[in-house]
Amino acid sequence: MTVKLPIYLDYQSTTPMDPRVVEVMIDCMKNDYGNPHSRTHSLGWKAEEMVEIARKNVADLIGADSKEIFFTSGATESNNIAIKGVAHFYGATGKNHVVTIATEHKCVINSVRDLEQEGFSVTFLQVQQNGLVDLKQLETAITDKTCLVSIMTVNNEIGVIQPLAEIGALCRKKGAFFHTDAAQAFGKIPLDVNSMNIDLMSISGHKIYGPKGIGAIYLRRKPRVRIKPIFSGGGQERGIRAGTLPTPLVVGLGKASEIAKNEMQKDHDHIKKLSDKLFDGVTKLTHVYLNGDLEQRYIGNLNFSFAGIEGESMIMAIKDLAVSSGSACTSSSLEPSYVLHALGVSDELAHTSIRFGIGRFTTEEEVDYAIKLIASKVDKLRHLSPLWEMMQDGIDLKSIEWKGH
Amino acid sequence: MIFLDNNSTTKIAPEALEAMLKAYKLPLNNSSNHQLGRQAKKLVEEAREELKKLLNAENYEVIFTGSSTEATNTVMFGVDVKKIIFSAIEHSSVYECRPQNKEIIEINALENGLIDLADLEEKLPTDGNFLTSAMLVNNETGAIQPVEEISKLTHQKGGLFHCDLVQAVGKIPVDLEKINADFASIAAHKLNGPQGVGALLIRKGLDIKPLIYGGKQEKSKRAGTTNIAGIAGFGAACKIASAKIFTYENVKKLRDELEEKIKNIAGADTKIFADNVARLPNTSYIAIRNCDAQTQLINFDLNKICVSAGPACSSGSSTESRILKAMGIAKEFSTSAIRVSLAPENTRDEVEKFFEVWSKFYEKNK
Repeated sequence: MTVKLPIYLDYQSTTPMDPRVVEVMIDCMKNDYGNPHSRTHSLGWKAEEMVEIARKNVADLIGADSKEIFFTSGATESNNIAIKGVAHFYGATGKNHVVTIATEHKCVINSVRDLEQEGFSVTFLQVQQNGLVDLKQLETAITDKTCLVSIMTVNNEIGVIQPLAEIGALCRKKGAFFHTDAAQAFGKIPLDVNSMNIDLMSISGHKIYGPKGIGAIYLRRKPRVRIKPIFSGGGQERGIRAGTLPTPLVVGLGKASEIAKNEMQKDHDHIKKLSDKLFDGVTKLTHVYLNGDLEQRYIGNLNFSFAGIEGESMIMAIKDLAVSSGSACTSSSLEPSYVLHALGVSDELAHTSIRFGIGRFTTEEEVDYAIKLIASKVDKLRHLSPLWEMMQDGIDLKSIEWKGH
Repeated sequence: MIFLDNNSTTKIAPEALEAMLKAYKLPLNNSSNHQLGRQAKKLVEEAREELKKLLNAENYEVIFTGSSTEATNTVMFGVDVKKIIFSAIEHSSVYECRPQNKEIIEINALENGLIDLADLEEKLPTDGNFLTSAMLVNNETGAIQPVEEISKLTHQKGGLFHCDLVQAVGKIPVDLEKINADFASIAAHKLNGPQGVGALLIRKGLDIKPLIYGGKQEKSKRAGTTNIAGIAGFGAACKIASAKIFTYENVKKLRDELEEKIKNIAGADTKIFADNVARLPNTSYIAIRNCDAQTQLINFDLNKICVSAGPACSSGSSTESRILKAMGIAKEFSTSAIRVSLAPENTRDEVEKFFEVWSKFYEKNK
């Protein structure tokens, strides 16, 4: 059995491109290099036509109409547009309250914090121990001043799936718009903006085997969601997002969406099989905990805490596996994850958490290799670890003070 | 198909495409700490260095963005000043960007295609609390603007200067130190790099409020997963750009010959804008008196030639160019102008074919 090292198990950070996506993009760059806003010549028209096909592919994946999809540079930009755009538009009418949860992606949290600085009233709801939002708490939090509720579909660190349909129904009933950051979910689990009452959705290309630098935002037309754009310029994307549309990237996102729609079941079956295998293999070790709800989760994400080991030394020990502790966006800082904190995970377990991401191109051999490596390294590190020794001696690790790195 | 619309976008260079393909083969996220993350970081940092080298920008921070429009908007919204000054011939990413909390002061343009420096001097605020934004090259006429003077006047009054380099880079040498800009914007797809990548340059020591919040990418000045492949392609395009500038001598020759021939047959019925000032070597903005630009475009399209009327971003809306109007050009010419923008890849045959189609049309409609 030969596997190529390092084994990539970081699919939540980014995904390898699907070769079929690369192929259409390269073809587009070589042959159709019009500016889609050039309405005066056929290369421009061709580019525009390709953009519209891609728009439909994205829309089809979430049950939306093409006219409700606007291309952006990525989910972070989409989240910024959704949150600040709705708040700035409706804030002027007196609806100046935004609700979100403590485990959102940094770009949602920071956008909401920015609104707070501007004088908006904001609510950060805590989540339950399983990572899911408490619907009763949410219902109480939404007032007649609330313009927007922003709750992510799938959490990037722990993979839990929030109850979108219930949240959507609640928001509709109480007259607030519902935005969901679907960067980790779009193309991976079935989503329907109508049955789930989603009013705005953020979409990413590079999480579904498409290119980086492209994403989209869904904006409902009926009832219409209005936003104040964050950039101005040439009026592209019907004024929602100015800047030359990068046709090859748009085409790449369209192709990735088309493949995701056609192969969602196949991807699911493949990933489920490998994920179950990894779960069984890793949980054979003692004192290993899965973070986040066991059932309500995206199967391609397994976030484990290994008690009695330091997280960074674990990552070093298993460097044949490309994995992250926490999310990529915050992994340059070594602070324990704020997401795990919000779940009430203790510091020592948060420190030893590792996210394993499985995707379309992960193989069974890679998972077998990973399980073997993890088992042997955990065993070895625990034998070296004073923490493990203390645990065996019955010392409460919570009494230890963690020094900042 | 003859593509003479290279100011709208350019064909991607094989070197850029190759760099992108290499990056596309791996799942690269430069925010990750594993070896693939470090490999991604290396690609991004190499591209940053290429860009600095091309623009003589050692004393600047390079922040990669999703477009030059975004880079420019970041400056317009994010610089802490009370007033913004720009001319009537700026690109729409400046002209349409009017933050509500800032006072906008508009500067006139001259008939020759240049920003009116006397008007600027008169309107510059004296309180030092302002930003001036000016383009190095106008995207429609190709006129090279007196940005060094604008920068100097701005600094004398204690203001900050943003230079929109988008249309100039790759076609003429650009030296950011010489321009002495505090901020600058650039787009990869105008110099044979990919669409969907731009950069904002910030003089070291200056700060700016981000437009997009989130992770700590790009020194916390621009959140969002970094577009590794796009940036690698941008870097590769920058790397070959300096050498490529010399090939514009030939482009200029073709352009000048074309204009000569047009003037010879059409005389006073035609106008070529900004032809009395320093101009990009590849751009020719040609009007035929009272001959609607849309009609001309349809004719070129039927003959498989891509040109444009005004900038791509606003084409399709109205045929009167905002730029020509600001230059005070009479309507008989400002609604009848088409822009030809050549690239080193264009052949003499292609330019001759353009002239043939143009002259036939002129003879029929004059």
